[in-house]
Amino acid sequence: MKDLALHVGLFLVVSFAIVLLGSFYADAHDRAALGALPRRLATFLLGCAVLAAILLACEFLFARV
Amino acid sequence: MAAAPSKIPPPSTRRGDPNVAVILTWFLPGAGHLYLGRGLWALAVFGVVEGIYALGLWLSDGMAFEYLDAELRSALAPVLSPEAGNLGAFLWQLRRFGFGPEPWYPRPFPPYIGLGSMLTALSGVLNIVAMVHAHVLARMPATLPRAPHATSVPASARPALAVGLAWLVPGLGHLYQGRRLRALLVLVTLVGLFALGTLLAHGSNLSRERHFYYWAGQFLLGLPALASELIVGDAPVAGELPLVEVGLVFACVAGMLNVLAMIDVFGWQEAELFGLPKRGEERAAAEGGGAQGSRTSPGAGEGEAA
Repeated sequence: MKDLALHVGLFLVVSFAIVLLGSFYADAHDRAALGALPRRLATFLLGCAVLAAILLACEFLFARV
Repeated sequence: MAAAPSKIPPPSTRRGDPNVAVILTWFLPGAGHLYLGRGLWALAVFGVVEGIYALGLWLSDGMAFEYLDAELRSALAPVLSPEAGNLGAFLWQLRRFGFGPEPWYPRPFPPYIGLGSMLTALSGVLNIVAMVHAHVLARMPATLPRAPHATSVPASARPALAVGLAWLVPGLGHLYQGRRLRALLVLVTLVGLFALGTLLAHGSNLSRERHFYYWAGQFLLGLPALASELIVGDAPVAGELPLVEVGLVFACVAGMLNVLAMIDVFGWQEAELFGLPKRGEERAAAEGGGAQGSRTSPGAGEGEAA
């Protein structure tokens, strides 16, 4: 469980960096870029969670050992 | 919000085709500038970019691609390395030195191969900066009046300078543009991510020999990656590194995210130079919110003498 928490924490760190730079890329002005950051971060995390769920489901259904 | 008129001159008055200038520079540093009639620039670009590549080849004995494991060696394997930014020299190295004499067998690397391969990679990045300059130069009017108060940096060179600074130190390009908050956030985020990755990998990421492709990604972070490798690179690894993969990915992602920062810097400088809307402004205007910040558009020809 400790390992899972560590990996989730590390994932959140890299997610923040990716979304921040993505937000800066999308908006040239700081206020707009930073204002949209929480929504973009939530979208990114939700998308990753859906992807992880699909991969886990595929693993469970087709690649269980 | 009323759109400011674009300052991009019509194609008939431009110095040349920007795509041709970029492709020529990619194949042969300086060729794009020569095509645009800038002989001195061409000579300077050729001398610096190819000189650094030649020095790197000399120091590394042309063995940098022998870092790749035998099973990875194919014609396209080294394409994902920074040297590909200087395509002509990269192809020449691949043809002249390749992966060493066949049949492939391990042979000792020269003592300065780390520095040498760093220089050949640096040549690729510098040529990308030269390509940015050639692209901007080609889009400017063929004849420009000499500005009465010319600044030390010609207008056509500012985007390339900003991109070069953004590569050298994450955030420095933004600082050059006066975007201090963004500069600080980019610096802290990317260097912090790289430092965390290096910590998790116990410094094992600071070696092109160990991690050829991850190294290529983190090289895009510029000075922080270069300095770290020169100071503590190739550290011996003793024992198991449980989070080494995470560390490698973090350091590599930090470098690749710096490319986004470099594109952001270029977009801002390009918009300033040519009076174009900045990224996100059109969308904000369409949404009815308007754009924040000011739109200053200094003259495209400021400080630029043909």
